[in-house]
Amino acid sequence: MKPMPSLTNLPRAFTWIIVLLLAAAPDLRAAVRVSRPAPGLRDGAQTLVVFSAERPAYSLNSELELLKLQLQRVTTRLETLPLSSVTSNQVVEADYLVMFHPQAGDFTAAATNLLPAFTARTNPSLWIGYGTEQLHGLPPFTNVLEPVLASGEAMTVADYRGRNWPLTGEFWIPVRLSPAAKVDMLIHGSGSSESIRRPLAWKSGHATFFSALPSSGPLGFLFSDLLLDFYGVSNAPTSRILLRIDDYQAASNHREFRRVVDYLHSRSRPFVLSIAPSWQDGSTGAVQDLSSAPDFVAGLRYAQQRGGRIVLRGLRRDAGDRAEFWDIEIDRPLASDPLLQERLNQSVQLLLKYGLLPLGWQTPQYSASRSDYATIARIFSTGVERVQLSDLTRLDQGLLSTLSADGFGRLIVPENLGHMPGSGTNAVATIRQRAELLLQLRGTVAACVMHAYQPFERWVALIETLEGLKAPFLDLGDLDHWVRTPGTLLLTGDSKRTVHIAPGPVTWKAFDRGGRLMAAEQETIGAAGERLFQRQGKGDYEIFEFTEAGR
Amino acid sequence: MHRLVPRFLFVKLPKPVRPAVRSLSPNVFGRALGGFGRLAMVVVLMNSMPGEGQEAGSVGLERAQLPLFTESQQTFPGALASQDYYVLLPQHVAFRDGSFLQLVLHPSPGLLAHVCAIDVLCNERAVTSTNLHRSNSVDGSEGLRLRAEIPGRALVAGWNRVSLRFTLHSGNQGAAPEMAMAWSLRRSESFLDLVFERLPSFPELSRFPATLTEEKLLRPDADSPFTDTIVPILSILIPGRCRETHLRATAIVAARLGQLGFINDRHCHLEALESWKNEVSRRDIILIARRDQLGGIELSDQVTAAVNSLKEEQGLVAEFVIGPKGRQRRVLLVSGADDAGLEKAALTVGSSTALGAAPPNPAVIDSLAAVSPNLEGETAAGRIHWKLERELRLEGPYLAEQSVEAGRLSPGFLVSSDDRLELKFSHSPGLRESSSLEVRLNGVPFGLLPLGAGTGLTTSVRLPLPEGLTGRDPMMLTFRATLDAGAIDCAGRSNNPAWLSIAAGSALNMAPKSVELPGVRHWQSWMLKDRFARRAAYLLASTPSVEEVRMLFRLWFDLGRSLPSSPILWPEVVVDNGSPGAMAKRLEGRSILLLGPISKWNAILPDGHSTALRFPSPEATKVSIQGRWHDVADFDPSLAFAQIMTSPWDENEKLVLAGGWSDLAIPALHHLLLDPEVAQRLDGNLVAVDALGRTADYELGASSAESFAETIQRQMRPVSQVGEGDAKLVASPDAQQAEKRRWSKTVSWLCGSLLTLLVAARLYFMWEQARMGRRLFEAEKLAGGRG
Repeated sequence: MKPMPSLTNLPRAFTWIIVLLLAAAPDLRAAVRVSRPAPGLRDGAQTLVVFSAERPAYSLNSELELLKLQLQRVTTRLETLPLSSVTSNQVVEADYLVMFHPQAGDFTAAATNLLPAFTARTNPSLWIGYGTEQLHGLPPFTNVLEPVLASGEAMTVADYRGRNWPLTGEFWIPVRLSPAAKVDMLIHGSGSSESIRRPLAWKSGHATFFSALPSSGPLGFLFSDLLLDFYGVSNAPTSRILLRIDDYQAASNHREFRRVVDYLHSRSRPFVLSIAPSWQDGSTGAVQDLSSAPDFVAGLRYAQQRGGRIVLRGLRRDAGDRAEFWDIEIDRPLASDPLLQERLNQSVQLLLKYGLLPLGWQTPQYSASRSDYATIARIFSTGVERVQLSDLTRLDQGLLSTLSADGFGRLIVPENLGHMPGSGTNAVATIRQRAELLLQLRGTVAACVMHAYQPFERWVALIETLEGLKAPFLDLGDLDHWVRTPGTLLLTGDSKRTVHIAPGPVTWKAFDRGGRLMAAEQETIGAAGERLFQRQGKGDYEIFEFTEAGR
Repeated sequence: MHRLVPRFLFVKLPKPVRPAVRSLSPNVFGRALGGFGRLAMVVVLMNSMPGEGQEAGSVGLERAQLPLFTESQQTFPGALASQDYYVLLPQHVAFRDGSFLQLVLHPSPGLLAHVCAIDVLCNERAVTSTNLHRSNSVDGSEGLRLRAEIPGRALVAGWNRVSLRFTLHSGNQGAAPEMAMAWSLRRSESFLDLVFERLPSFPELSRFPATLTEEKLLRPDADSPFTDTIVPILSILIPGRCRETHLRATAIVAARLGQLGFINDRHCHLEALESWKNEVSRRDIILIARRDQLGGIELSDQVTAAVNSLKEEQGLVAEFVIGPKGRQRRVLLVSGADDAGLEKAALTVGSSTALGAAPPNPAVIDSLAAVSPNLEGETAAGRIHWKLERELRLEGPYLAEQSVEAGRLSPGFLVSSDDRLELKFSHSPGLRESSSLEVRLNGVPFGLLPLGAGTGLTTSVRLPLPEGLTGRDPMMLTFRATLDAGAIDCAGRSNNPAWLSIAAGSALNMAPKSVELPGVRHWQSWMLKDRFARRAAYLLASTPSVEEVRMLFRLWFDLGRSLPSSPILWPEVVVDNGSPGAMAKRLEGRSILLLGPISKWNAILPDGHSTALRFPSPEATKVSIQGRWHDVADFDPSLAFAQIMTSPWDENEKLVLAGGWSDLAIPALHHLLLDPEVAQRLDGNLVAVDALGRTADYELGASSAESFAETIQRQMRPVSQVGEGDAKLVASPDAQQAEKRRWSKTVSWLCGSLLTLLVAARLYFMWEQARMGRRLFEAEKLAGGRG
């Protein structure tokens, strides 16, 4: 007779069951994958932004562009319409509606027909800026908002999620909530007299109100966090730290650089390495590229093998590291380069030739015109940078708290902590303070920059500080990227790309994160046509080489 | 780009022979005497040291006192305008404020009168200076004490230059310091007191082997020069029974360690793997073992996973740090799934380029490391062209000296007669005719050029290099100038009137020839013909014991010391395992050092090759030397023999056989192979050395009055058999030769005399016989005969 399992064996059996369940479970890493979260309503939902003006009067800051960047932290289909063009139906039917009014007074005439539509909505709505007093008397806001004649005030502290957040003087748009109003107060602000708490953001029914402009900076970070609630995001990724190494060049001390890389690798800290593939020699004026700097290439490969993810920081670095696409002195874009796309292609091919796999782009000095961004976006799907918001001035840059997407469809990885200065005892403390603030928010990426020439001890200080924040580091290789040049397509993550190809061989290569070739295959395509390239799941990066149609 | 190379600390270079200071003109000397008088006293420059105590007491800060030179005392001429010292600092610490430099200069009597001021610079940054001009109260009897605070940022990991700049004047007479005048510094008084903070330890494969040894730089006085006790800083653990690949890995590791210069072989402790626990509690570790031999070794989780994942013929190079903070030990693991894998790992460790290109730590090695075409091109025999890339300026007065690295020439090569230095130089216009420039290569003077009024301001000369000079890594080119600008006063001197500039573009053109010297003493030169030591093979008669590997370790360490700048060191090690084909394949194209008892020598050699010594077995009582049998008892049992001959595996290479009667005779072999003084006495191609370092050498193929056996018996009778009355037997070779000549002369005289006597007797007897015949004839004639 078969003996019955004894009770003492049960715990062991449970252990085995748990182990088996864990093994059979879907990849946990995929579950916490870093990406822009989906909205609560449905995938592919639409966000309609209705604006009365792009920016406040007498300002060069493009507040609307910044708002769009902020809204794109969640993957909705963003549509923007001026107040004069929008219809009531559009307002009512939008999945998510954002009313944006950066300027007082422009709203009144055009909004008459839209206000009832706004109040009739059941889906989430967001009112940003001026004009909330227009809702006075309209249900369901009848007893919520009251007209106010007070003047605005600079805010220095915000009370959000039970914690005080330092602000940098962001301007509060006067609004008065009825004492009897039943609203969810989201953010209170305080100015110089901290005893008076101003309503900065609140929720009433389906609508969320934000009585300030969510400019770049701390208030913008809070606003961005608020958007997760607006969109009903339930799967915000864990906040992460991103480290970027800048200024590694052919003339750098390669031994010291390798040492830093070894240190980061020993701590399992991935990092982004931004490089220029060609440069101008300061003394001779001669232009050189990776082909003439084997030690530099070896250093880059060394870093790539050990967690360094390469992004192109411009195409050619001059001796003074000036902005490559912008005239900083007159604050105007340089004449558009008709060969820019060709040069971008050549640079990517140069990197690939040496086994370096570029995942993204960084605009030197974060300054480029819209047309240059458009060209860049045809090659790179990812930008690690602060996006310049308009061609009016380079000073208007989008400082984001997390991953987003710009108007050209690029995934934007933010840079928001600044760089670690070469001297100064408070440098580390300042970075820690900023990072702590950011990491308290949901799904953020706290990104800092360190120059490759910094002494090793400062690297140790920075890494120990960042590790003390108890947040995981972001590996750029975990995100979805594509890099597309004629005849070549590099894919990572779940990215895919449709290409019109000509008959001929198509080569597929899979690489691990270190750039080591893991597999390669070739097939021959008999007829020209559209072809969807997507990852086959081997390795971490895949490269398709094909014959481009029409070339 | 050329680099100034330290001459006094850590790098073992021959001491330069300082030429005599040129004599001064009476006028100049007289003015010096009658000038400002003698400055005498101790100038104490106590720069305030804020926070010295606080710094040392601060959390995490440590101090180390680093000497500026290795000797207990160093002296340099008082006429020298500048003197540099070099301190090598490690990379695993951060330098903090609070460090200071202390120098106590002891001047010869009268020297201070010639000194205006002394500046102290640290890495070209002025840290202190003292003005001695018109200071009548300076007394140099207790030394001139200079002390300067060195900010942490003024120090760098690597070589740091501490410079003493002397502003010399000649008083009213313009005389240089006398030739005998000198400064002296004592090691105990002059040092860099370093304040540092430790940085976290982490695996850094690409910095091997510095990572495992650089702590020694902070503990220079750990080894007492008086007790001769060396504290090992690193343990190399190998299996008790090593296979060929283990030995090759050990050879490669030892050679790489030998390159460092600031440790010697006794800082490395070689032990069996079983000593892991004991050793890891004491010092950093290098583990050389196959995967199946790692049982009982405590590896980090990541390394354990890597070891377990190894596939057939895969190697592993891994570094990890174990132990609690403050007592952390760094462990380097050189391993593999099998022998082939271990060899791949070993070759990777032997190549800094391969280590730099290896996968991330723990690095699984799939393929054998190779030498890149660029490196191969650099090391190929042919012309060596070195060019000075930037101007070298020597500032006087009076003596000035600077050295630069001038390329690398492997010790297996010699300077040839056609080699030249193309020198371009200029100097200040006001130099006197007594000025000169001396040029040296590796400390050997080969050019003395007059400077001064008779020569042009810009000059180009071609100087032939000293022919036959053995190569060195690196070659050191030294310029030593005597710059006499006449009377110079301290006051208001804005421009230095005495300088010499070696122009950029000065070049060394060499077509070196390889060493073809036959004697045993040149055994290592044959093995160093390749910069990467690939032509060096060590053939072992049998698997060595750990004790024997210790001895081998010293040999391999020494090999690396001769090639300090080589990015790759791949010596070969072969154990005779009865497979001549495989052995021949590995020995082809290499010069070989065969280590084994003489009883095995002939058995290892291919058919048709034999040595001068035949010893049938370790138990045999007779030994055949040069074809004659001798009683073994007549020889010292501690003897080690060596013979150099053409390699039977490659006629272009040499084979050196070395060993004792029944084992390696390690004490004697140590003298034979590692003691430079003993090596100097080994001119022949067949030599013997005993445990006391006594030598007997013999030239096979040359006519000689005595056999090798007789030479040994004469020069190296067993110690137990040498009595007072036998002193003559172990007399010096010259005395023995004189004795021989005396006996030869005596015997010649005796023999000559005897022969003369015999001839004389014979002549006498013949004459007597003739005389008697004539007498009989006369008598017979008188008796009536017919005549």
